[in-house]
Amino acid sequence: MHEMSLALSILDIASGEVEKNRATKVHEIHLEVGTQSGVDPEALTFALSLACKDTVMANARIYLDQPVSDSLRVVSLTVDEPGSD
Amino acid sequence: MCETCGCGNTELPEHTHSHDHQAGHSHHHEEGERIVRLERDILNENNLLAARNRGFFEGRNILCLNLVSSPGSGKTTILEKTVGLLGKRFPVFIIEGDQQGNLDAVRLEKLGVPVKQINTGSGCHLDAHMVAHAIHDLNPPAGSVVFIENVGNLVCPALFDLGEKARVLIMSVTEGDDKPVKYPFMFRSSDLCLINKTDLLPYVPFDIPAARNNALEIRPDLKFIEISAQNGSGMAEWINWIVSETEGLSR
Repeated sequence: MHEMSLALSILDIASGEVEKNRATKVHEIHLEVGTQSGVDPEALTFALSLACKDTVMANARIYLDQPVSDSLRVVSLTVDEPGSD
Repeated sequence: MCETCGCGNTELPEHTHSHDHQAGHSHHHEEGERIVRLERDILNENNLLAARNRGFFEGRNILCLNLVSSPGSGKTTILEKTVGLLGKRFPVFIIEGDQQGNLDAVRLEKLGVPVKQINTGSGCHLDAHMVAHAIHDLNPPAGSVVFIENVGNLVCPALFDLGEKARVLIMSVTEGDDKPVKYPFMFRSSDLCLINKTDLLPYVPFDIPAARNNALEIRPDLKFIEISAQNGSGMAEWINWIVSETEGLSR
């Protein structure tokens, strides 16, 4: 289940960006999980749902692209603007 | 990152609601939301630490090999025999990865080489961070050879660069010769394939040419050495390969 390690890495990246942007939560996250990356998208989504409970990523919408490549990336995040909410 | 000039400004100026998604989903962003473009490798943290380990090894002219395989392919026996054959020529250090216990480390310590056991607990692979700590504890001197015996698993360790110079995949003839087809990611990321337990070939249906062809379809430049750690056949070729890998390092 390396997907759980990856989910935790994604959460780390997202939490860092939330802090950097003085935001409080992630609304959506765009991931690229290549078909040659060795990662199962469903397992990753499931791991994310567990890893992100009660975090800045809780309830974030996950968009997942699967290009024919070995890429494994966080493409972008949408966070709240400081002062909003 | 700035999409036009790559200037590293990860924040788009005031969100404009004009971004295009490649995938076919449509939605709009609420007021008060900000899009942060990252394009960051999910394994970035591991890859940075692996690069640091690699720099450490290069700085000390150390050859580091990452041994991967399914459980039971004979990694520890190969290491035992390898230490016996190589130990007089190079200082040898071993990083031993298992989910639980230290059985392999105890076996290898009997050979008089320093061994660092890493227990991954529920984890299924070693990562560069664990290896960085192990290197720190072992502190191998210049000119040594460090073997990392990864957790027996043909899936997860494929993704995690540890900073090794080469990845050595061990398949044994008691497994199916279709392993490369079933576990392509590991075969694709390996540099050398040891086919072990060749002493059992008369008793098992393993087809070596078929196994090689299956692996070459995935990794066309994969090298092979057929060995039997048990009766020693092919071990000289394996030792020569290790020595040739150390020659690329300055001493």
